[in-house]
Amino acid sequence: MKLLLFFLFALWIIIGFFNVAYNSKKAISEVKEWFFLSDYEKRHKIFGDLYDFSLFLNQHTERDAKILLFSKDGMMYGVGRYYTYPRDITPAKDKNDFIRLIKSKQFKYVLFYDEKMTIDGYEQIAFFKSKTAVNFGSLYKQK
Amino acid sequence: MNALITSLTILFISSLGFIIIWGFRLLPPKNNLLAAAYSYGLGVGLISMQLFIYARLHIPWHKELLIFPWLVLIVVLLIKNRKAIHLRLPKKPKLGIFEYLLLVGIFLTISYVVFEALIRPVSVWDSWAMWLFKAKIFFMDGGVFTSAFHYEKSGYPLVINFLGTFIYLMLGRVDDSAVLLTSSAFYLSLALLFFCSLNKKFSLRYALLFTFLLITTQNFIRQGGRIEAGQADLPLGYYAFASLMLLFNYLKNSDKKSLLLMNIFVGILSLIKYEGIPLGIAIQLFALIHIYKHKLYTHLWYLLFWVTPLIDWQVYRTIYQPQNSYFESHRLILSFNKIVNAIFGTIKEFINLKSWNMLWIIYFYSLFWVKVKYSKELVIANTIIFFQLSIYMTMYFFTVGNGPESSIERLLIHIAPIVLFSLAVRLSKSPLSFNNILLKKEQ
Repeated sequence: MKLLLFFLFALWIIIGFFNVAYNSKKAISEVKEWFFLSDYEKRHKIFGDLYDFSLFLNQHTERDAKILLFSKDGMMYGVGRYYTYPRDITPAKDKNDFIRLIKSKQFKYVLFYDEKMTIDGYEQIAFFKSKTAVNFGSLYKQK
Repeated sequence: MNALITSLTILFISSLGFIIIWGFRLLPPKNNLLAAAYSYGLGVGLISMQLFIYARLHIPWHKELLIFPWLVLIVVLLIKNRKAIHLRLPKKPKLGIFEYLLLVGIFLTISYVVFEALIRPVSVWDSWAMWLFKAKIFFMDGGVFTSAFHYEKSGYPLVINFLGTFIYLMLGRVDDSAVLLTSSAFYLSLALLFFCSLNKKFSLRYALLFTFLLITTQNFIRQGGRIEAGQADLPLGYYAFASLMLLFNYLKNSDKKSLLLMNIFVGILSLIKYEGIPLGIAIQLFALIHIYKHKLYTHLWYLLFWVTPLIDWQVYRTIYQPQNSYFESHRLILSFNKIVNAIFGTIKEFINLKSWNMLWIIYFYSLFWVKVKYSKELVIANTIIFFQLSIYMTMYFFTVGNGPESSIERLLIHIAPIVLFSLAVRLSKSPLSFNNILLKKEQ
């Protein structure tokens, strides 16, 4: 039992030193991978089109805009909310929820991400097309 | 430039904590390194409290208004204690090749963690969806408004959010890369505290070795600066460990000031995340037993430093965020599958070498196979570890939406420093052969 414990403990120390070496080596590859990227490129690398779409939203709406979002990608709401604050985004859970919310007429903008739908009382003001993937989005404004 | 300002802000927060600990003699004056290890934690609690009070009293969060009161306090404490100021360099201890190797390993790992924190913006979900998101909201709103609680509904206490907000206020803008240095500062403070706590009892080599094992654990590295930086789990682990060390101080000396500082730390611990509340209660129970046994009833007043902010937050939350209760989003359920999944998921994490190295394996192994003499510290540390583990398991067993897959890796960080400390104490007391090699200054 003692011997096994001694062995495990020694292994732990060895793994610790291995981690130091591994992390030092990784630091070099991380420099190559991240250091020379611009802020935009870094965020795009982490969040992909979701970040671009958030910038698109910031570009086409006012700071205090109330926006209804329809997307099956749950990340879109999270990332969008973080990058577009103080804009107020409300996500629709599904199609029925979307129809219920749109009838309330409290949203100046309606946003579709990777979804298509026609809605009365709104007009399309901008269209987003991904540079690198097949993602797309449309922004509608209340007439 | 933002990284420099953030570093200076962290230094200011730490200096504030240090001067208060030193000025009010909250710790024995001889060990400045130990005081430094508690400083950042105390400073974070103080600036968070300040932002919260200002927001509620409608005092604007201007840089000058935030810094000036602390500068006055620092100057007053420095003048009052001017005779106690001794500037001297600590003696250089004799180091062997193994100690140098450990120091190099520690230095390289800390450098790596800081480098990682700065190289990319926040990327982990919990951080941008919750911790740093609310920090951003508070900064952009210029205060705490109820709309923030309706937009970000996690309902967690605000200490970590306020820390982020404070950094943004000092920067004058949101920088969700530089702010990750706050996680690195918790990592560094934990390492320093861990080292000082062990070095008080054991040899330098033994303390360095276990500090090395702590900081090379990948899960700490990830939360300290790599891709998982910006969350509240590492701070919670730091405060839990700090509170326990202060409890040991109090149990040893029955010293009021240790109890006061412990209660402040337990107060902050309870306001980091919900998980800090049971940890705080467990730690306080041991303090209460000590108070009762030694009839130190006047010491009970110090518990107000823990209870008051906790109750204040609960009342505040009930008023301004009544829609959010933990059990509303995690209703109770009884399912055999969930119980099996929780047990196996947790065991699987214990043997996850990539995240924990040998920590949990050796801990459980030594618990059952290494017999040691009775030690009050060991009993307390292990009771707290198992109490907290049982809380997590109970949540996994009986609540919807909770499972080890998504959270056990983070939750174990809360108690991992205590586990490693307990292991260091246990191995020091065991009749193992390598014990004699590592221990020179046995307790």
